[in-house]
Amino acid sequence: MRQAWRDAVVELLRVAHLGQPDELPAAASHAARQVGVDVTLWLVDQEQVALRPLVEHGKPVPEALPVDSTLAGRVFMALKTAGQPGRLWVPLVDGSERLGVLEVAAADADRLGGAEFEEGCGTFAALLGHLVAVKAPYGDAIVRSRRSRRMSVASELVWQVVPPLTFACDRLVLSAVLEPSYEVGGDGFDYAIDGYVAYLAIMDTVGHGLRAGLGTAVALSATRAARRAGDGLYAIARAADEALVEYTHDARFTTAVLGTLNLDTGVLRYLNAGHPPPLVLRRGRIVRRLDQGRRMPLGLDDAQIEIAEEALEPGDRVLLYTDGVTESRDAAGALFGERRLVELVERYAADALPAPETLRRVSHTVLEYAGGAPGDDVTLVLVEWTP
Amino acid sequence: MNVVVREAADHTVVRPEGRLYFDTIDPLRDALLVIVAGERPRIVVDLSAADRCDSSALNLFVQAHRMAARHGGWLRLAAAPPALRRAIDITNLDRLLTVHDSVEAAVTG
Repeated sequence: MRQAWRDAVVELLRVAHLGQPDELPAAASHAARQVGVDVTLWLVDQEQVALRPLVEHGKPVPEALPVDSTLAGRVFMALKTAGQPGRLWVPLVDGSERLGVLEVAAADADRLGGAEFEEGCGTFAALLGHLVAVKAPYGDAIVRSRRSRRMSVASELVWQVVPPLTFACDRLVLSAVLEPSYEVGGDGFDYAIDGYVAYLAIMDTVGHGLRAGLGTAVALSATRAARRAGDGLYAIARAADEALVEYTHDARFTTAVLGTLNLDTGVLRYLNAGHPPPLVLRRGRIVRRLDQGRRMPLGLDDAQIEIAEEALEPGDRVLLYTDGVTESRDAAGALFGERRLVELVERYAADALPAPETLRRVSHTVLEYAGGAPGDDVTLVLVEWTP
Repeated sequence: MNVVVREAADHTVVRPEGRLYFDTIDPLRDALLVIVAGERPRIVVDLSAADRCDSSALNLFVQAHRMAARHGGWLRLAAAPPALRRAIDITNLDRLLTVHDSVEAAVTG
């Protein structure tokens, strides 16, 4: 069995080498025949509500599976393989980014059992997850399969600029959400992990739609270029100031938190450019609001700037969010508020939910609160220091 | 949103009423941009009847403040209710915009 899965992995690599994005399902099916099983790829949609099939051209398309109410959805949420008669559901990830689940089915149900089989499945799914991510940019098939509807121009732009939603390494777990995913306006986030430094950013540009999205794209690109040139936080913020002034002539600004977390020491250095203060979660409780390091929003020249420092403890989580979260209103006009956000995050910490699942649920709760149509973007970034 | 503009001898009081949001703010923008284009504009924005705002409103204040300064005048905010005061504090825009407790205090500076 172990050898059969190895053959399948090698065959998948071989076939995928010159494969188009839309040919990946066929390549996976072909390779899985080495083991005598059928596989179907299910990718989570942009809004993380349902798993949608990525099928070979011309094959029937099964209905989407809701994440919250199906076994496949539970496998996606918990990232743990689960089986049912004749079928095994295996998490599909690109490294640590949750992509969906792989359905493995066999006419002969006895084929699906055993630790060795599951291990082989896991290896096959790991390669397939990487291939989904690697192939996606070269065509529309994979991207399209993850959409339940048309995306706005601003949203298309913002999704091009932000990094993948989740990254995990030995000393850090970082996850983000950006909603409403098909109509994102001016929110964005960024991160980069190099050596012992994790760089983090969350941003929110004034206004809505394309002009706000462009503002965030400008600010993100400026900060990224400065960071990659070796600039520190102060200079990174100044680079965004300059770029925004060049882009906009109506004092349009971008609120932001920019920070670097030292993965060896847990020291977080940050500046807050007119943004809601991030929250520190320690042993399941919010213990601190990061309200130092203040300056005016990016795009407004502010020389008064002091970088703040906060010493994290192992296991601490830092939650960054945009005001679209706390300023969301229900039908009666009542604010969602910081207290509801804190309660939710503390509850999910008590349930030991992983960061990506915590944020998926928090963002969906906010969207539901706002009747499905929040007045502003809802963005959250959750960072856990795990030395 | 309704905007009441009251002209005094040496200043103008602009009083927006209601929610100052990106999708309601146009009447206020129109009123302010006309005044700041004049000679030495001196504007007090009376916020006492504004119940909440988003960053588009703050952006408009910054923009109008800059244009007023460029034309040799000023723009001052007055009587901001707690929600607006909080929005100004969080964004640190009190470093750029002056916020006075009352219209009278804003006029005298």
